Amino acid sequence: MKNFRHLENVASLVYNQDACVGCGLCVTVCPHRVFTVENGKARLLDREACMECGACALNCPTQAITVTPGVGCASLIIQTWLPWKRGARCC
Amino acid sequence: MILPQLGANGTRIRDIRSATGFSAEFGPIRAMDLPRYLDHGADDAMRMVTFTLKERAEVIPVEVVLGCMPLLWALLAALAASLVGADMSWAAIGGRWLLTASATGLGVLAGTVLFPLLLPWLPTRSFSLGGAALGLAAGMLLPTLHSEAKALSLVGAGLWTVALASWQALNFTGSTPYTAPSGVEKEMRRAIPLQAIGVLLAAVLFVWGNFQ
Repeated sequence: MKNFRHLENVASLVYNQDACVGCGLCVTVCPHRVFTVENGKARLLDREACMECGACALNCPTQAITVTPGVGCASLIIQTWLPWKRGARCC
Repeated sequence: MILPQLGANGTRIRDIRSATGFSAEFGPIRAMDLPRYLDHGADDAMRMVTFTLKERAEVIPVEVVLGCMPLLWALLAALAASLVGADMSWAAIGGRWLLTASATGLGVLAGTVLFPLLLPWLPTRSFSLGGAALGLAAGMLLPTLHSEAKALSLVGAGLWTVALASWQALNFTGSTPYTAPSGVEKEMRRAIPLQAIGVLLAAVLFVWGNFQ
């Protein structure tokens, strides 16, 4: 997905290398190849490709990764803004 | 158990064993890669999402269908704006509504059909700006299609096309596999006020033009 990029420097992805045990699950689950594992530790390869799906944070056994998961959908976000919309619905 | 990779954002894989007794692993993204995965394991290509022209074209009908009701409301609003003018004859009202209807149609075409197809080649990462640019290009057709319309009304109608295309393109963020909610929200906070101002200005210019 090298030629598909949105805004820079906004992703909520935080990676704490000290907590990493090198299991490689973050590499397995990421649909954008944000991580790689070398020398027994994960490393951020392409942080700007992160779409905040949350798969890595959910599967990391030591909580070395945190991210605010969500969907990059304007319609959904608008629903969360509107006070009269109870429970944002996905179309 | 082999799970599809894209289930990972809702599945903590180590819980599967304790919950079911089955050991589990994340397979590839696409089912058609399963034979190769079973033979050779996963490679990078199997684990990366794509957004090819075909994949982008496939989600266009989704946007079109979802946009049906809003489109109806937009056409009704256009009809309302077309009612007032210096010439109140049915012919004149009909002519004004044709202008707003075609401006609406062009905006939808630009933002819902053209934008997804041309996405990787647009010189901006911003969805709303890319949509606006395509809307501007489409709006250039209005003077040719409606040579009898007043200049100010044409500008107003064209601005409506731009704002509508920008809005449709912004909503395409939900159909892509690469936008993050943080980025989308940031763009929305910048773009939506501008789109709203654009719509207001379009209405003012259009109605004003109809009294020239």
